[in-house]
Amino acid sequence: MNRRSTLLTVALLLCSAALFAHPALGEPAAELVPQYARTTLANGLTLLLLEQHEVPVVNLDLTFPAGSIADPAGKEGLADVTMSMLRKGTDRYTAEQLAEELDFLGANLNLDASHERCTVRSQFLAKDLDAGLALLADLVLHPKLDDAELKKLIDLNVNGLKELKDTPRVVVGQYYDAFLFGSHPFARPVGGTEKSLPAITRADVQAYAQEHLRPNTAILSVVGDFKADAMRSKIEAAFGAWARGDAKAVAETAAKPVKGKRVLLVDKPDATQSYFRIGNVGVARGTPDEAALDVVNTVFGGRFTSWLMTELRTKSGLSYNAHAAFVMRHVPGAFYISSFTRVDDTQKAVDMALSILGRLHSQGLSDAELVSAKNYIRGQFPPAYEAPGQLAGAMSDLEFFGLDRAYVNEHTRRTDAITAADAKRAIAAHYPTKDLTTVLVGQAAKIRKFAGKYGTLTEKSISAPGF
Amino acid sequence: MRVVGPAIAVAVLTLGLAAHPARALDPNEITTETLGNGMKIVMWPDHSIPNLALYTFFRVGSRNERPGITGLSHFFEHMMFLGSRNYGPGELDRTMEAAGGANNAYTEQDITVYQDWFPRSALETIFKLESDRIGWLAIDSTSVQSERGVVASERRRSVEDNNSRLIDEENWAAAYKAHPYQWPVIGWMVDIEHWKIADLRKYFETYYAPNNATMVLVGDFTPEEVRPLFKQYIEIVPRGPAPLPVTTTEPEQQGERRVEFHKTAELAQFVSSWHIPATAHADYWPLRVAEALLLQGESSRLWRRLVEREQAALSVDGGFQHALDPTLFQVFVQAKSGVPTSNCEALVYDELDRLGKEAPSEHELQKAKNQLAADFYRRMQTIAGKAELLGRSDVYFGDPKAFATTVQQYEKVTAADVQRVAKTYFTDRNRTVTTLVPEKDNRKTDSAPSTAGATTGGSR
Repeated sequence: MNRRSTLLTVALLLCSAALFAHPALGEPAAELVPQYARTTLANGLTLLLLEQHEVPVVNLDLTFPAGSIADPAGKEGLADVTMSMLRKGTDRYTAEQLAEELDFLGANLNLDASHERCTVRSQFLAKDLDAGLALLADLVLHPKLDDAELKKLIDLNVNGLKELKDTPRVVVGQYYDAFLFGSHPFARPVGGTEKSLPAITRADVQAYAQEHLRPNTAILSVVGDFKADAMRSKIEAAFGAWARGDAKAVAETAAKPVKGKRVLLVDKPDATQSYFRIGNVGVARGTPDEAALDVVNTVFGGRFTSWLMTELRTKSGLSYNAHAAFVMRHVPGAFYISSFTRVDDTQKAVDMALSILGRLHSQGLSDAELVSAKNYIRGQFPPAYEAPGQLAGAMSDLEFFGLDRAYVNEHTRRTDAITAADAKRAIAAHYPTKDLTTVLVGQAAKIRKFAGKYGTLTEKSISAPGF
Repeated sequence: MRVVGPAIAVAVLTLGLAAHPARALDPNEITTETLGNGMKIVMWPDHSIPNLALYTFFRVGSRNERPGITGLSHFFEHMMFLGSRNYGPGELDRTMEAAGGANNAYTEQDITVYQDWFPRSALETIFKLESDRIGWLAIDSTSVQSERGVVASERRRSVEDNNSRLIDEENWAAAYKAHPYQWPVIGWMVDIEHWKIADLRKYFETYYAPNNATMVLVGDFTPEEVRPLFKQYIEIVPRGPAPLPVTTTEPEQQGERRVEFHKTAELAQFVSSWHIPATAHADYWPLRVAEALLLQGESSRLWRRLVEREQAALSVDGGFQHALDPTLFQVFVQAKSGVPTSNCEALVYDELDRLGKEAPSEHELQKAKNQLAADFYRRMQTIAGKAELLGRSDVYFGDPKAFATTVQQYEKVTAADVQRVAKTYFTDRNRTVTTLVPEKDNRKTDSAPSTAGATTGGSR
């Protein structure tokens, strides 16, 4: 072990770069996502391979096109629980043994569900690839789904919700999604609720895994220090026996923007600040206005000198942070403005955020802001494609959304092409004006008296189950 | 520090041969120089992306404060963005972003770190901006006033509305009586409200001298092209007098200290801590191994015992940070609903006692070392990660290249070393326990007590 570790260090420190010429300084950058190999295994698994030899690690990133939108009503949290159960034991290992094996390799393993997908993101040292791959295949193909482990996990998750509700800046997002999307599946809390979690049974988990964790809809991206040919054989050996299923990507319908003004006030009597989100339903990934929105939102609420930060933080000192974002999925996710301030300044801060939104419509971006935003986006883009895990994630994203490498590699060109007219059109089309949904988390006793001026008021206590 | 010799280099060079052009990662390419004004500069070219990271480490933090000006280092960090001789309030950010750059900064007990991330094309702009604020900061009274509100909001968000941060600062305040680690990096709220502009000016003169800092540049450049920039823009900043050393040492703790903090909350939690030596001490390495063994991953001793086997806790985490002076090893436990924190406490102490009584097996020891080695490689994946590593290596180990031997240092730790440090430091009389006692919501509408504070630094 000692010797291997030492060798590894040396290999890391003295890679082969010296044998290859770097691109000359000042030349245009090479493609951020280089050409990678794409193959489909006999069982339908889509395999994407990219060698990157800088650091002696390998990232394996598995994506399933299903997430909490496939949770049955009343069993919210099922996708999330199912993913967590993958590390709770296999046919070969108990949960404890599996944790021991993974930790012995110094591995990273993240099992997540989001609204639209479930992911298994892992990283192993290159020298441990065979052992790591065996563990990964074992937990995906042969999870034990032990009932005692499931009960333990659900109990932990229910406790976790209490902990979340002690931290208002974190939960304001869940309340906002729930209130904004209403009966649309994006309203569901991915982690479930105090009521839905205890309703989840082993049979539910098994059914979810059977249906959705199947090779024929899955994407496996592998990036790191390996040889592609050898890796392909290893993946075939590890995942070849994985049986196809009837899985289909879950059909999604687009939520419609919410009409009118509505306010949800979540009472947290001990909060020292009020945390708020304001917005409406936004846009889908790949919308033709995506590059224009990127430019506009950079100026409006996407960077340190954005309008929101300048007014709510730098000039007024009302808040530590203010920003705006579009959540882009296959179908439109949320658009929101988010900030917080001390209880007594709540009205002032919300009014200020709304007036900045108004200014975006009435005034738009100056030419200087347009240029500055494009430079900023161009300059900050490459570091998102630097580490093997980032590249594996990016390759999975492209495949998941049906996009090609040009989406990343031509990003700067598309950004540079945005004109003032494009920005203006994108603002009018995608930033809400009169139809606004507002969520406030804070001391209702002090906020209630003016919250109604932002729309029809609904109130709930933070200790009520769910969001 | 020892650097791998060229003979070995030749032997392993072929390991990296591949179809995709591999990228440079040779610590022999790290250059360290000291400018005429005492500023240390560290350069490591890495051409994997057309970007650079410039990190400036100032040797100042809450450790250099005193009662009445707690949090001033962190506040000062904010002021470094709010105007200098040639750039008015907000202009630094506007200029940097318009050139494609972004920045942030953070403050800890010992250091304040400024981070710039930018494309090659912004290189000279960044040097101009850094030169201006390091040499000629202009402290504007309007900005001081509004920034006070920003920091107060930061404190409410990350401490007063965050229970684990609340008990964290109470824990440091109880564990230290003499040494400045007793107050939070963000400062007590009452001090945030009372700093004077004169305090800020004095702070700048005392601690922001180039001879009290290290600049680390990693990314797409050659030393030949940036040397003139360092000369033109950084070397011209005048040297200052050496800051006074911090001489206070914390007297040895002679008995357990217990603190309760009552607050409206859904769940109870606590933190137990023990005094341990500074990073420069030889026990740093076995303590890191003990930390991994106790707290890292679901197979770690404390997680397995409290969360998995006994199902008493929702989570267990903690550990310790780099520190110039003796610091704390902390264990945070979020108890499950209905489980008394005393039950969880007993489990933690039982595990720590066991580590002191019997040496870990070779397998378990190797597991911890493997985890630590993997973490080390993960930090090297990005130019920003490397800049962080080099700067910390310089501050805490006295040499920016010291990081290169990290894995070897872990490998040297024996099971007996781990057992010895557990026995030495995890004792009852060296322990400080802070418990958050949840109170039922009493519909109070006052803000939380203004005496609460924070220990770890936040981002800008």
